[in-house]
Amino acid sequence: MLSERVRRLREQSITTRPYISAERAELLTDFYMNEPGIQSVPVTRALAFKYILENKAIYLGDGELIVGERGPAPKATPTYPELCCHTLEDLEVLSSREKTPFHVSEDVKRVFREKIIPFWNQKTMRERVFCAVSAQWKRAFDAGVFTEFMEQRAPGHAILDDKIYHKGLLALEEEIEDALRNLDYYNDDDAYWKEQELRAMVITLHALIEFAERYAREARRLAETEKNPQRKSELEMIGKVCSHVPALAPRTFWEALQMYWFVHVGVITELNVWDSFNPGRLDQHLYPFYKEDLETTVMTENFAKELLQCFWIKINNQPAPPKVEITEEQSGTYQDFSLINVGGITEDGVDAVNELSYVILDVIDEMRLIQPSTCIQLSAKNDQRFLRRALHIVKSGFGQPSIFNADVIQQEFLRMGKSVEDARAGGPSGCVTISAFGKESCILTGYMNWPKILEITLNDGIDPITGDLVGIRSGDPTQFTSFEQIMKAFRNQLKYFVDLKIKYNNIIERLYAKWMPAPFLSLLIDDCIQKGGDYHDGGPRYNSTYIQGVGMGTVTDSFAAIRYCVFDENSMTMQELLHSLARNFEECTRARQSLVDAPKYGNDEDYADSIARDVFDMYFDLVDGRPNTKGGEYRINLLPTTVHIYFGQTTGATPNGRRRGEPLSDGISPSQGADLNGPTAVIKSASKIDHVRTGGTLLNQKFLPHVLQSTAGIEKLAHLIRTYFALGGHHIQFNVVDAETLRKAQQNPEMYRDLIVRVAGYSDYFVDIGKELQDEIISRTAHGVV
Amino acid sequence: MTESHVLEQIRRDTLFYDQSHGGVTFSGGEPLAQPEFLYRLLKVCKEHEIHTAVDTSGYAPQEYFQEIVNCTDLFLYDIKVASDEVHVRETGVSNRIILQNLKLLPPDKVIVRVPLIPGVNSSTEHLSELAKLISSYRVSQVTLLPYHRGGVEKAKRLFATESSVYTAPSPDIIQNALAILEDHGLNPQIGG
Repeated sequence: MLSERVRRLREQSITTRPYISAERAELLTDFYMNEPGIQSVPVTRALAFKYILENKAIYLGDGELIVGERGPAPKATPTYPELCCHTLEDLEVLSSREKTPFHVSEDVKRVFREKIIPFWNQKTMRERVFCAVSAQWKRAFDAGVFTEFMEQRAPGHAILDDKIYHKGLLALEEEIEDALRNLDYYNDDDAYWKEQELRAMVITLHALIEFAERYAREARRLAETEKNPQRKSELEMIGKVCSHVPALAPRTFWEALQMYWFVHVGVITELNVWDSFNPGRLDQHLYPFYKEDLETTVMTENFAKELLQCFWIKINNQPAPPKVEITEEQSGTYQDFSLINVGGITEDGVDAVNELSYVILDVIDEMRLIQPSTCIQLSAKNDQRFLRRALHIVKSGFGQPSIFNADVIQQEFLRMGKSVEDARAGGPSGCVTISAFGKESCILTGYMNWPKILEITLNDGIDPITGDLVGIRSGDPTQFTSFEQIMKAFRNQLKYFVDLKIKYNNIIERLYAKWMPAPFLSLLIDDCIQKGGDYHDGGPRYNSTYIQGVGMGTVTDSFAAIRYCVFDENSMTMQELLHSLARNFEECTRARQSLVDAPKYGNDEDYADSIARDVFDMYFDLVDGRPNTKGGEYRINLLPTTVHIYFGQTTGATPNGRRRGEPLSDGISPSQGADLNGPTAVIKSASKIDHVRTGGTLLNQKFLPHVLQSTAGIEKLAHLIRTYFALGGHHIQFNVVDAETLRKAQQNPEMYRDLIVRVAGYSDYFVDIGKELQDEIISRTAHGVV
Repeated sequence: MTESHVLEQIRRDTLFYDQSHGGVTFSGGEPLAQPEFLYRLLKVCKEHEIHTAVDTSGYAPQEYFQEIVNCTDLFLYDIKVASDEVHVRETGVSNRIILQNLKLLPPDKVIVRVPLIPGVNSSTEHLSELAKLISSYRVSQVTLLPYHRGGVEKAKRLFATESSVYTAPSPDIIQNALAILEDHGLNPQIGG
């Protein structure tokens, strides 16, 4: 039962459509127009951060308990012209597009036209990135072989550990002063640059403290005139809370939540970091406060819940910053991937589930918002009651929480060289990729389209859609006499594209290190202070770079069909295959049927599944362990967000019978409709790749709601998940809606505004995701039995 | 198809059986229509410590039945109606063999399954008779399977006829049936 306050704030958050605010862009422009340019880059950026926080509007909504907005009001979404300065055309597209629109007022357009665009032209990171890349890179990018995360948004993917609950920002300042005192200007060539980074951190932390103080003053001002005695005392308390945190460590549950929220707003104001920011393991961090406040009767359980609900609304108030073009195609969602973790194991390695874990699950259940995204970490050490509670939320069909294997995640961390303690304190961040919370810069750099690379392989390096040589010459496939030769040619193409991607990733990393330091974010992540290093420049303890593999099901089924039809059964020649692909199967119905009838991944049949493993191993060998420019390594993960739709559009007909333009398979899920042996077979197939050697995989399963209506149904689903995890699976998520409901929602979107579905690593409003993705979700196999 | 081929399919899911304390159910059609093959399969499952269930109408030659009973962990055993006359009318065969076979089963290894079909066995009289009959075999686990028309489309495709002549029971009929079975000391469940 939601309180009247929460109901109202939630309603406001849901019904307010996202709109562009020019506030941040204008303040930033004002700052740089008057900036003499003599100071170092980090200090200048810190001063810009300070200027924004000093001058932005303060919004303290009626009834709010947790305060602070990134924009001037809920859903008012800023832009980051230093990274990507939207053109007037972009603004038109943003306001008129079918999915994830942002309203743009005439006033905002005027400010962009007169002030923001003229100033930022030729000064943005987007332009620097596209200036740095080669013609080969651009050809591959335009062909849809890979995407580039950093062309409109900054590297981020940072998740916080528990430090801000023990230390206020003033305590961090003391650590910075220590680091400054320890600088060795005689022997360390970088001492001055470290000094500049550290001074920038100090500027930003005071900027945030002063920003909080503005809220404290506003709360006290409102309290003076407030007639309602209850609200008056709340406002007085907000004033006290905001004068205490973030300067000092929180003492209560309320202060702890407000502490995090100010820090969150700071991070997403500084840059439009990918995967906004994330408190990580909220039930672990807040539990000591929760327990003490209940014991000392400072707070009731209901009030704790209300505070959490207000906090949930705050996250939902901040849509992902507006994206355009390919970046929008690959991640077309308002979801900004603040993924709250519940459960798992403690740093001592024991069951971490506590009473607050259940309270948070209640909050997820009652709030039913797309943001924050939520997950449970499930260890063999967690009991069934915990899993069942989570599944009762899954059952209700809103795609959350997703479920992660805490025990396999530990192995993944340890393989990558994390300490046991750091591994246990970490978990999935954003979508499905793991990160050592509070200690790692874990950067996703772009998706790699495996089926497109197969298409290029089958055309000897040419992209048949444009006729351009996009890859390398890898041989005429009609001359190949064995399946192994095709695999080898594919490997050569894959290597070429991985090398190309890594080369320019490394260059783009350097551009961000030089031009876009993030001193405020750096302050929060170990060991940036000790090293005097920025988050973007190797400051964190761990620095991982990911290239996300996409289309495993499609590429596996394609290889299996080639092997089966051309080499094993000889039901068609390579020429016939290539011909039918080139014709997009028009007038090739029989050829297509043979290809469709070939073995498919997802049925627990080794014929196809062993190919999935081979492709996985190939990708792993080409990527894993290669150095990035920050003292860390490249890693692999397998997830798509919404890119399997976009990549599908850029990829011609594939040998698994998929027609040109149709979506690719998502994550490590089987191709849409290819799995015919039920969920246990899917799980067996998906566990044949070695999840421990990834930083995350995504498995989507869709069930009709009636399957989970009974206790026995929930129990069976729990067994299915436990078995997948025993087999070493990393993550599983469920869509629990029937196709009929989805079709109705497609026809009458107004009637289904609140229908939330799991897309890929996140949940979204079904009516917001665009027709193609809607169709794709409808066509995902709806398993009738568990 | 050999038993080792079937066993290979069964063994793919052993981890799921372990997790859920499940196993393999031999169903049909009528698995006892192939008694020798069924027997060999049950035996290999036993060797591999896989829990087995046989879902049967019980209408099977007695000569194989005892051996099959010895290597099966659980029977899902259909008893449709107590009256032999109605049984003959509705199924075309007598229920005499079915009831004789039931005698061979240890009561704790049996779940009796009763399809609940209005106009056939849903009256209080029929159900009381049936409940008495089941109790006399000391079986207590009973599953009531309310008739549904979910197979109509499939029947149309298979036989190109509208083969269903029955209707689904109302909630009242189901409740009444449950009450009667409970009154006779049985432990009825719905569906499954």
